[in-house]
Amino acid sequence: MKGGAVFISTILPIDPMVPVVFCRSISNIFERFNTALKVSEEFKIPVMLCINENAIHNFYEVESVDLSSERVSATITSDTFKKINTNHTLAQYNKIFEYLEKRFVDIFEGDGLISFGDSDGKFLKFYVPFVMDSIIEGKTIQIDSRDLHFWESITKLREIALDFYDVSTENQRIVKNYFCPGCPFLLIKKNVGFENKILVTDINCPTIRRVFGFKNSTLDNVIGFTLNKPSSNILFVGNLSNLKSSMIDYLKNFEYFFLNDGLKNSFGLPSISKPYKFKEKNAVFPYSCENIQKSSVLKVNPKKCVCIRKNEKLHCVEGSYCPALFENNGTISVNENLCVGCKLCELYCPYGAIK
Amino acid sequence: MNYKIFFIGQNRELLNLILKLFLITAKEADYAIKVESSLPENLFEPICYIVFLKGSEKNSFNEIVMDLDDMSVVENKDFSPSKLMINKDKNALHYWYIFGNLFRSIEDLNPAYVTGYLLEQKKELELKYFRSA
Repeated sequence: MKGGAVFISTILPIDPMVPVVFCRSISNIFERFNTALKVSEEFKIPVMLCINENAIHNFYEVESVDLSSERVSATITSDTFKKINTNHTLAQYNKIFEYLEKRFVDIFEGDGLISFGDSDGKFLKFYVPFVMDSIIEGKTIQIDSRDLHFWESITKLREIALDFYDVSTENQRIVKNYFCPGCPFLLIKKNVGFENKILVTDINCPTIRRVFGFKNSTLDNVIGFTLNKPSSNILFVGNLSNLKSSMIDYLKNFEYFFLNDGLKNSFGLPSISKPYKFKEKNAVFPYSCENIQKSSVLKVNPKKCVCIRKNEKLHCVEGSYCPALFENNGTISVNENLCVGCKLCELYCPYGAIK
Repeated sequence: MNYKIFFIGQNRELLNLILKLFLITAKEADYAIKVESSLPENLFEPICYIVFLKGSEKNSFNEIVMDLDDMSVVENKDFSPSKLMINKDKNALHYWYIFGNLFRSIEDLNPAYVTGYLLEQKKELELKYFRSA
């Protein structure tokens, strides 16, 4: 390559094949970026800059801002790429390691457990493939469970022995699970059920992935997967706009729900009229995550709301994961600003207190 | 003393304002400050900030949990609407009451900056809640 190329990412690379410079605090982002750029320019190799997603909060004080490096204009054309010479690349990696070691003095920063997520913990300042494997080999290190995938991917492919310690108890979630009010997935779960099903979606929501175990995949992939082996165990929930007319014939191979994200249902699929109570399967849900409909706010009858007085679990709060419901004066109250009137809590309440 | 303070709440705008005022106050009291947070997964998940105040060389931290909307799974909450026996306000004014309580548990902090800010912005109701703590 003629110029420098820095790939910037907020996630740890899995099996990195290019040198990686890590940045865990916003205060040294300039230094790390400049170093990555310099290495890339000097050794003609793309370099990855991996910034911790919490870097913006790990702010102490910007001590030194070095903007002395010259600006490099974009020079990527078809002849900037050449065939990879393995021996040459390995030699380059050795040189890069020497350069970065000289630049950063130490390959580790911080003290304590090895952790990328916690800015106080010990972590690599940079990583160079192959060259650094021998350095971190055989070391007994405790690692944060959030970084496990990163270390596993390196050790698996390069035969490095590391001791893993699970310190995940320190990083437990301290916030309850909350979904968007009127979440289509929760209504589908209540009416159809997710039991014994392989759940697949093309909607990128981390909460439904974590709580219900949805796998992220496109409709094309699901069709391809079930082409020779139809399965009624697979439930696909996706946006209607991703459905094409050529796919209609293959939908019989699995169960599905499409969320209507503003398009006309022109495929002749059955539509669900009442989103809070339905029995249809393989149908189009009237709204999607982006355009959740708002109807009249629900009200709680304090005389019938007896869960707290009976010391029972809160059926409505635990079932609906709704942020609009909260405890107030020994009864459940509804936050009018958040409630969209989806009636999910009404379905979960055994005493009929919510209407 | 060193403190590790959890701010957990749903009203992000107000929580950010309160955090900003708190950080300025803590800086004036000569604490070394560090803020951490976790990214919320969806728009309606409560936000959680962890503020580290370092005033001594010890490595132990006094944990204070401020659960402004009763939305965490922490059992021993120091300040929350249910623990303080107050009603949650529609406009989240109870945040100011709980915030006022925090100043009682950390004695080094001077609430003058917060009172000054609220007076300047003519937020009388907020000031009333803050002072009543």
